[in-house]
Order: sequence, then C-alpha cells, then structure tokens
Amino acid sequence: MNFHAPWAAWFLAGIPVLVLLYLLKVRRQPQPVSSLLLWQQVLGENRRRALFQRLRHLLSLLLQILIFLLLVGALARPVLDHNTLRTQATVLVLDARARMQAVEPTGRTRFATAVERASAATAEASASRPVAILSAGAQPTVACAFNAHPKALAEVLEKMTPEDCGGSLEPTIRLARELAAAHQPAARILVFTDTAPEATSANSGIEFIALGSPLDNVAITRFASRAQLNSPDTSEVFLEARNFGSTAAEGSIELSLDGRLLDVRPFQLAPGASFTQSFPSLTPPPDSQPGVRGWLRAHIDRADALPLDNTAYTLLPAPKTRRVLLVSKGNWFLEKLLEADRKLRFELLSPEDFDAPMSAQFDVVLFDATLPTGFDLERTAGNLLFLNQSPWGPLGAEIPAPITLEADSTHPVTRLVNLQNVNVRKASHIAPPDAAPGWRFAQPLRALDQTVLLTGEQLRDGPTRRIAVLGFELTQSDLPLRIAFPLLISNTLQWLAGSPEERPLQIRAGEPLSLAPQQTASLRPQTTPPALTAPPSASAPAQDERVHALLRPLHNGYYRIDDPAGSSWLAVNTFDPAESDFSHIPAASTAPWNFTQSVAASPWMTPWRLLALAALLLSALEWALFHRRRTE
Amino acid sequence: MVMCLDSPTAPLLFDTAFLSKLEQLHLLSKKLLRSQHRAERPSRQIGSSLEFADYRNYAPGDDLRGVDWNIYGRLEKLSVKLFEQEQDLPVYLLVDASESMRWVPGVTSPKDAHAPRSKFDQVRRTAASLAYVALANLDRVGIQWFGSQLGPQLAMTRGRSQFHKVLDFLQTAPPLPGPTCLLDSAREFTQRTTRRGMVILLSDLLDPAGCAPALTHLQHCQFEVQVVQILAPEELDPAWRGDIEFLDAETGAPLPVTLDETLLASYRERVTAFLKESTDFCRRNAVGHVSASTAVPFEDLVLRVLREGRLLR
Repeated sequence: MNFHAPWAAWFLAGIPVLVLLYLLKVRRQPQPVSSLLLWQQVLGENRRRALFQRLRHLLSLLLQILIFLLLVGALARPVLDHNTLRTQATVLVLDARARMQAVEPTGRTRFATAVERASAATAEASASRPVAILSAGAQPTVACAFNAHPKALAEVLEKMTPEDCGGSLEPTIRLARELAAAHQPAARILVFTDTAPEATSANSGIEFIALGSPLDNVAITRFASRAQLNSPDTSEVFLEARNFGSTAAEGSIELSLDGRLLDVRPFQLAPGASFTQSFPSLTPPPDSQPGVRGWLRAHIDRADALPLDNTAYTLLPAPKTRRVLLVSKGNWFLEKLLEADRKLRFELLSPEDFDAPMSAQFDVVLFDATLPTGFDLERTAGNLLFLNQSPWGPLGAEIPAPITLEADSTHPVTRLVNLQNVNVRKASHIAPPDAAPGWRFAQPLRALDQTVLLTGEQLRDGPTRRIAVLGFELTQSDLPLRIAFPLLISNTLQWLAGSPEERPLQIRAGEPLSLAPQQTASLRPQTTPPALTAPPSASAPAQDERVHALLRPLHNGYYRIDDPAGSSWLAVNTFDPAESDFSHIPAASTAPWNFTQSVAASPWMTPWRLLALAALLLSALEWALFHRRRTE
Repeated sequence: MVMCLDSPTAPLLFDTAFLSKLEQLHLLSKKLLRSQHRAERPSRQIGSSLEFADYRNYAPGDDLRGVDWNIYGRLEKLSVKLFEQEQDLPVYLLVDASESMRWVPGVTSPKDAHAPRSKFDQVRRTAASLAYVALANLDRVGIQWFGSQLGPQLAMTRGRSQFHKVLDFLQTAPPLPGPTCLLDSAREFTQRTTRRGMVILLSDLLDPAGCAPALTHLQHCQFEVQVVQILAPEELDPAWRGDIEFLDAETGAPLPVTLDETLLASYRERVTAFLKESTDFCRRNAVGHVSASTAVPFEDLVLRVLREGRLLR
C-alpha cells in the first residue's frame, strides 16, 4: 500500500478532538413530569439498558472515528501494492489510426473506448507516477510528456482525435520504448489498440489492451480519375470497392461532381469480394458556372463499421492554361490562332509598350517581326519566340523561295507538322551565336543546309529557359493557310512553356507532399462543396490555417493549395485495406492482461473512491441509527 | 343560574343546564350506613317512611296506627308494620392537591387540545360535580385536600344552597409540597373522622407506596371507598424524544433519559400495568374505580364515565 497524498495523515490529529467532543457531557433538555415513579420503574426493569447506553455511546464514538479514518484514508489517495510495485511511470500509447474510428455495436468508437480506458491510468497519475501519452497515427506523436497532473492528462486525452490515415504501430512503440527507457525507473508501456502486433521480442514487456470485436465493413479502396489521351477535356473515373465482412453486402454507390449527383450504381458483394466500376466521359462543366471545382465524390449508401471509408474523394484533371504575350504591330493570323486555343490566354502588346520585366509574368512571349527598341536577351526573362528576327543580331543569309522544308519529326516543335505543301517566298538562315555558353541549340526545320527554325535551351539551375527563332515572315508564306500552322505554333508554344508541373490530384492521408516555396496549403480539409448560391468568400473557412513547405494531411477531404498563379485542390483518402478490415479478432496481450484489463475496465474502483463510498455508507448508517436512538 | 369555579388554567362553569343534569343523578352507595339526619337514602334503622321493612308482634304501647289489620284478620294476631328510616349519606371527597396533580404538561398532543391543562383542574371540576349531586340528594358533603399529608377541609355541609361554599373551597387549594402519601393521608383522615360514610378519592394514585395500603385502611375503617383516577395524556403516551432530563414535579429530582421507541414502548406497557394493578385491586376489594384521562371532556366524564363506573346513577 502506498499513498499519493501522505500529507493527509495530518488530519489524524483531529481524532483526539473527536474523542474530546464525545467526552463532553450531553446537554439534555429539561422536562418537568408529574412523577418519576413510572419512569424509574421502567428504567429499573431495563437495567441492561444502562449498559447498552454506555455501549451505544461507545458505538457512536467508534462509528464517528471510523468514518473519520475512512475520509482521511480517501484523502491520502492510497494505491494498492500490486499497482505500485510494478513501475512508477506509465507511457500510454493510443492507436489513432483510421480503423480506430470503427463503431462498435455499443455505438461507441474504438478510439472513444481507448480514451476512456486510458483515463483510468491518467487518474492515478501523481508525482511518483507520471504518465506520458503518445498518439500512433501517420507519425508517432507525443501528445503529452511525463505529467503528474491527472487533470492536465485528462484534458490531453479529451482533445485527442483519431486520424484518417493508416500506418504501423511500430514507430510509436519504438518511441515509447525510448521514452520509457529514459525514465528512471523504467516506465511501463500500455498500448490501446485493436490490432496488437504479434508477440515478438520487440514487444516483450509491453501491455497491449485489445479493443473491439470482429465487424463487417464495405470500403472504397480505389477512386481515381484521368484525362483521356485522345480527348484531354474528357476524363474517365475508376472506382473499386471491397467487402471485408463475413456476410454478403449490398447497397449502392453514388457519384457526384461538385455536389451534383451524376450516377448511382447498385452492388452486391460476397464476403471478401470486390468490384470495380468506371465512369467514362466525364466532362467538367464550364468555368463560367459558379461552384465549379472539379470535386468528385463517391459514397457508399450503406451503414457499416467504418463510415470513414464509405466516402472517397478525387478531382477531375484540369488542363493548365498558358499565358502568352504577343508583341506585334498586328498579325491577324496569329491573333486568331491564339484566340482559338482554349489552353492559351494571350495578350497583345505593341513593341513600343513592351518592357523587359513584363516577360516574367508570361509563359511565352512571342515577338512578331519587330523587336522592341533596346531589346536585350539577357534582361528579358522567360521563354521567347521570335518570328523573322533574331535576338542575337541580324538574320543570316537570305534563302529565296526555299523549295523543300525539312522538319525533324522527333523534335517536339515539329512533331506531326507536315510542311510539304507550304510555299515560302523568302526565308533567312538562323545561325546560333558563336559564344553562348550553357545553351544547347537544335534545328528542327531546315532548308537543305540552312536553318529556318532554331531552338535553344539554356541549361541552368532552376527552370529551363527556351528560345525559338523562325526565319521567315508568316505573311510571306502560305503557312497560315495550312493545317501545319496551328500545329507548328501550338507545338512551339507548348515546348517553350515546358511541361506543366505534374502534381498529383490525390494522395493518401498521412502521406507528405512537398510544396513549392511560394505555395501554401490549407491544414483542414473540406468535404462538402459550397452551395452554388453561396458567395465566393464562403467557399473557404474564415480562419483557415495554412502550412508551408510540407503538407501532411491527416484527414480525408479536399485541401486547397494556393500559389501566386492561383489555387488548386488536392484530394485525400485513406485507401488502406488494412484500415478497413475488421474481420479479425484483436490479438491477445503479451503482458499481465488481467490486471491491465481490470484496472482499465473499472476506472471507478480506485481505492480512494471505495474508501469515500464506505465513509458515505457509514455516515448514512450512523444517521439512521441516530434517528432510531441507537446511537448518540 | 351560572356558577363558576375559577382556576389558574381554566374557569369551571356550572350553568343551569348542567346542574339540572346533575340533579338527575344519585351517588350509588353499596352500604347502608347509619346517619343522624333524615333524608332520602335508606338505612338500617327503622323509622317512618314509605319503604316497608318488617313485621313484629304488637307490644303494649305501640301505636295502633302501625297495626296491620289484614294480618290480624287472617291470623288473629296483632302485628305491627315496620318501615325503613331514610337518612342522609356522609360523602367525603378526598381531593389530591399534590404537585403531581398541579403539573402542567409542557407538550400537549393534538387530540387533547380542548382538555384541561392539568389533572388538578379536572379533579376539582369532578369533585364539584359530585358534591352537587350529593347536596342535591340531601347528602352531607365534606371535602378534604391531601398530598404528602392531609390539608385543610371543608366541614360537612348539607343542602344545595351550600354549593357555593364547595366552590369557594375548591378555588382555594393550598400548596401541599412533598411527595404524595396516600396512606398517611388516609390514616390522618380516619383519625379525624368519626362518622362513617362514602369516601371518594380523586387522585392520580402516583404514590411510590401504591394505593393499596391507603384503600385497605379506609375499608378497614368501615368507609365505603370510591376511586376516581385522573391521568394526563402525556403520562399515558408521552410524545417526547431524544435526550431529556426529567424533573419530578413533587421532589424536583432529575432523571436523565434518552427516549427511543423501545423505552417508550416499555413505558406504555408499564402505564398499562399500573392502571391494571389499581383496577384489579379495586375489583378484588369491592372498591369502586373509575379512571379517565384529562383528554376526556368534563361533561362526558361526569355524565358517562362516572355512570359507567357505577359511581353515579
């Protein structure tokens, strides 16, 4: 037996006061009577009552002293020997993975049960019995270092929530071992989980407290979309669901886009079976329609053990729009071509208005026939396309009416470009500069040994800078009338702009995602699209916490990623069969199971509570005896 | 006519209606006692009345008006008819004026809200009523206070016109401190009183020595004894609880008691036994006995309880 609050023993000094109060003579109420004759006879007949009176007096005193001792004992907060002899400190590990959100038949989640049982251990925390709390989610997290205050520990437990990610307990157990070993004497480790690992040497000495029971569950295990190769504006969606239960399951899967229901597919799944569904030819609504985000949401309309994996999120792939600046005195063909390309957003500017820093704001700057005054290639950033002019000086030798234009079909600029029927009145040879360190040039379009189209890439740290120079004027050829014209210009612009940054549309919960230096991401997900009639400000939380550099989403939903060019969305899902499978009975513990379970299952049966309860019962007994004149 | 017996606790009113009811009553006497005055109560003496008593042979000098000529006609023998002598009855009212009778209970139960506040008031009322009944029947009445010893007395009076003397006497009860002693009082009473008669003892009989010696002594002295025992409801069924220090009204002696249900039950049993003892003794020794509580309304006590106890008729 040990005491958490031994100072309470000072209250024992009150016992002599109690005895002194009993030694004081009872002040009786005087009551005149006509005669004592009958009373004396009654008392004389019951002489044994005199002895009982003394005994009653003693019984009352003993009861009061016993109640006092019980209260002092409760204040001292005793702990049982077998509890204190084990270890002084305790490390609690709470499994916070997605599977702990499974709802038991009692209506409580496994995580709530784990918190409730862990609170039994935190209630016994004291200076000699500190408790640390670890959370085992996507990463090991120290929710609370060794703390001796039960109230603070209870607050930590109350604030803990399960994550939507999968993972392994091993890293958290290793951290718990290191934490326990650093404490003197070594702390014991209690792990509250529904999937205790196999009993190995690494797990020896750890007490696993199994939670939960086998449950049926149907989960969406895959949900993805991709743009069709032959039609980038159209996407196809792939979905896979699986029955992890021991009984057949049936229901339906709803697919919605930006909150609008698109399709409902019924399903019937045998135990352990899975089924896949594809939704081809999904076209996102036009950007002009309010509320368009491309949010795809699949939902199994069926109640089971884990509601979390009944909903999956993904996004429709959206082509990236390029910004193009056309510096020209007027080129009807180019303007119409750039207007017609939906992947481009171009602006027209006269050469006099051009300023070198402006080029950094565009993916490609196109100089048509005339260079701005004082143009300097080194001061002009970005990717540049020059038509019938060269940034390195005057054009080369003139090529009058080149008969054949030979295109390199392997080069991205001239891929699929057929120039056989194109007539050029006059072209110029484009020669690369003599000294251009760091540049790599190519000639994808040639007229015999003359270069008509020159491309260059500047290899450096950071984004690659590209330049293309076309050696003839468009109006001096019939190229704008040929099918090769839009292909050539489009290929050139795409090559110059470079391939868009391939950022995934979705990741699993708990997976890290690196962000660009200027990118920020929301820390909290959104799971429902804003109402179509809601103002734009309602689409995002009022106080959205942002993260930089690295995003590790812990909950499923849509996360907004902002950068100077705009904002985009990222879908996050669990998609872990290990988190959805509840068909197995939790493994047995590897340590003194009965004790751990008994303590955790009865948090109210602590010694001080029992003592307080006994004092309360004795007080009620003494009160009843007093009113029945059995005690004084 | 309204006559009043003042008391510290409650006035005793005797109005015409109540007195007329009392006039209808008679004191029942089981003995034929000798007296000096002619009245309406039969006696052993032969005298002139309408009640036939016996025959005897004619002797010279007898009044010829007493000869029963019918007997002479049949038997040819002169016989004289004898008649009973109707006399009065000496009635002695021994009224307990001890402190136990004057005790006023501190706690009254709801059921006796209209009862007299002390036994003393009740016995004085009863004594006045019995005196009026006796006076109305031409009996002689004497009243005697007693407590630890005999107190002042009202000399024998006769005739209802003397009722105001009775009331005046009952209003002036002297204090008689000390514990009640029935035997000493009875002895002193018999020594003072030479003429035998009916003794009506009005008391609570709370004498440590008991009532038996005193009653036996009175019977031994040829008195016809009637007992009217009056107790308070608080004595029959106390309502007190808890730690109490009883103070004897007669001696002032304290008695610390912790009253619980068990002790109260024992007390009630003892009170029942006490009443049974006195009742049994009186029945065995031909002593009239009536007991009542002060909770019983006074008229009910006189007109019903005393008649059922065969003290009045």
